[in-house]
Amino acid sequence: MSPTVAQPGPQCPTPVAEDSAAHPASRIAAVALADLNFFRQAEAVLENITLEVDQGDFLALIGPNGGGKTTLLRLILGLLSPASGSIRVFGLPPAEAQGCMGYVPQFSTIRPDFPVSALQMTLMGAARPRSGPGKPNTRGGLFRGIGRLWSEKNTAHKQALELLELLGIGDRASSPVAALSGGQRQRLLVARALMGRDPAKPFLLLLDEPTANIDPEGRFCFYEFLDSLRGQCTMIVVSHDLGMVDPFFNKVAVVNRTLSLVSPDRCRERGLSGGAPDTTPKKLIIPLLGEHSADCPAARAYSRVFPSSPLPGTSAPKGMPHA
Amino acid sequence: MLEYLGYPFMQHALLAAFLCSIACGVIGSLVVLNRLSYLAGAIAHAAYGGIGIAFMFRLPPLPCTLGFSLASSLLMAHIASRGEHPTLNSDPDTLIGILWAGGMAFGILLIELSPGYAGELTGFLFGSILAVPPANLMLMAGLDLLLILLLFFFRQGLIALSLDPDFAMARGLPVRAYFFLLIGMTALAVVMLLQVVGLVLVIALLTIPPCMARSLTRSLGAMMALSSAFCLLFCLLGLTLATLFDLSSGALIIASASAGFALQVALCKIRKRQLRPKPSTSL
Repeated sequence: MSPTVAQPGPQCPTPVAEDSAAHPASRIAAVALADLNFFRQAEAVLENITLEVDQGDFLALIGPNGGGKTTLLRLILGLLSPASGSIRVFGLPPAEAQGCMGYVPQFSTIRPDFPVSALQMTLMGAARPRSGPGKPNTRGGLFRGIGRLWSEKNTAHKQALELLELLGIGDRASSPVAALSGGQRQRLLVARALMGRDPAKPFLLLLDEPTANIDPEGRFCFYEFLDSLRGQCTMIVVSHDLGMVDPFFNKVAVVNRTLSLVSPDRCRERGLSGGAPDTTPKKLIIPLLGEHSADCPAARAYSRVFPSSPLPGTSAPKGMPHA
Repeated sequence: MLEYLGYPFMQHALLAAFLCSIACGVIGSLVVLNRLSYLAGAIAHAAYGGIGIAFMFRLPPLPCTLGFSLASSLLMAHIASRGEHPTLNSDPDTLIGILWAGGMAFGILLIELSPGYAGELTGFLFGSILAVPPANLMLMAGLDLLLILLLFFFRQGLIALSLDPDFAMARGLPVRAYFFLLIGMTALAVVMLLQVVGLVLVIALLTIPPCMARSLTRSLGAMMALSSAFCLLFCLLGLTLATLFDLSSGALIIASASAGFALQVALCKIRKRQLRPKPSTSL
């Protein structure tokens, strides 16, 4: 994959060494969170979150609904401000690092009836406000949003088409977004996020429930594509696809108001690596989610996808094929 | 019917219909795509406060209403965008509803307290396209020009806001400022449309033509152009019927638009039924 990006973020840090494994200490962390707290109507949503994500890491954020996964993602993106604590993305505050981040929101947040083609939507991924050196600001500043924010030239079209083809939806480039299937839309959102990537600079891809609309087989292909980005970017994925945790992520964090990082070794100890597929999820989910285990939405979601491995006291939903 | 075209009032009415159709197409499309028809309705009704002020202090109604609507719309935009999300996600319905009714009540009270006859004010409630003064036509043309210029300069930003505000924010775009811009532009359009269909019916003209155009077009520009054309068609149809039957032009314009919408829905259903594959071919 070699997309060239038309409008690199002006505030991105300088390029870093290519070999991520060779000099880990010399690199700035992709994401560094320290003592982060976030409240919603006086109720703690996230408490004392401390996390370091190295460049090149693939991190999965798992946990029950309402546990704060999406909130954490939005804090990293700079869409929310923490009550206390610090957030650094490639050593910068989130608002200054927005040019180095690609965001794949849940599809439910976009408006699918907007009359726009897949290609046009991909082009939007390179959007940048007009440069205001050293004054990144998402609030106010209407003049920063005047005029052309993303290129619609032939080179940008070509790059967008390349990305769509890479994601296997090149033939749908001129289709309206509303005419795409759930899986195709999800791929489109990833193409759009990658459109903002500058190959010469570090890049953080954040995905919020990227496979919610995709069938199990499609999910596997989707994660295979994400795997092909290894070494080219850092990735944080909010996911309920707990079965996918092992092969694709080198870090797993459970977010349920607090955050506990689970090392890959611990995952393997719990039988994630190479075990029979129906034994892995319960072993991971139940101990990690503690009191929520039996009734945990994430675990229920898993059992819907892999009905051959129902949780204790539950049965596979009707109509689902048994593996 | 054609002999009416010789009268200045009819020529002014046609020009007003044309100018309003441009605003309707441009702003209506953005209102529909951003699901802001409730907010547009609130702006329209609160505008009555501006009419009341104009009447009380003997000011020119259109500029006065324009100023009042802009102020109230920006207040509503502020209320609507206070939450975590940049646009209407923080459930501000109640507060906007209060502004909707409060602005109107304020206008009614001011008019009742003002000396003199207030008969002409029904024109603002139900529209009076046949009585648009030439000075207002100039103002309307100026507003159209302003709307088109704003659209030209902020085209991509308004698309980003309408398509995916979260993503636009994550790319560092000033989404909240776009939202204020869009609401301000909506206030301008609403004040223009007030003269054609009146504040009670304005939401219909802002939403029906763009709704019809949405399913027939593949780009925002085309949607705006087609909704303008639909709007002009309904205005002309309503105007013709009003002249022929001596009925209220505003109500007939909206009745034509509603009938047009119903016709389109019916045609779509029939077409879908025809396109539905037969059981033998579907296997």
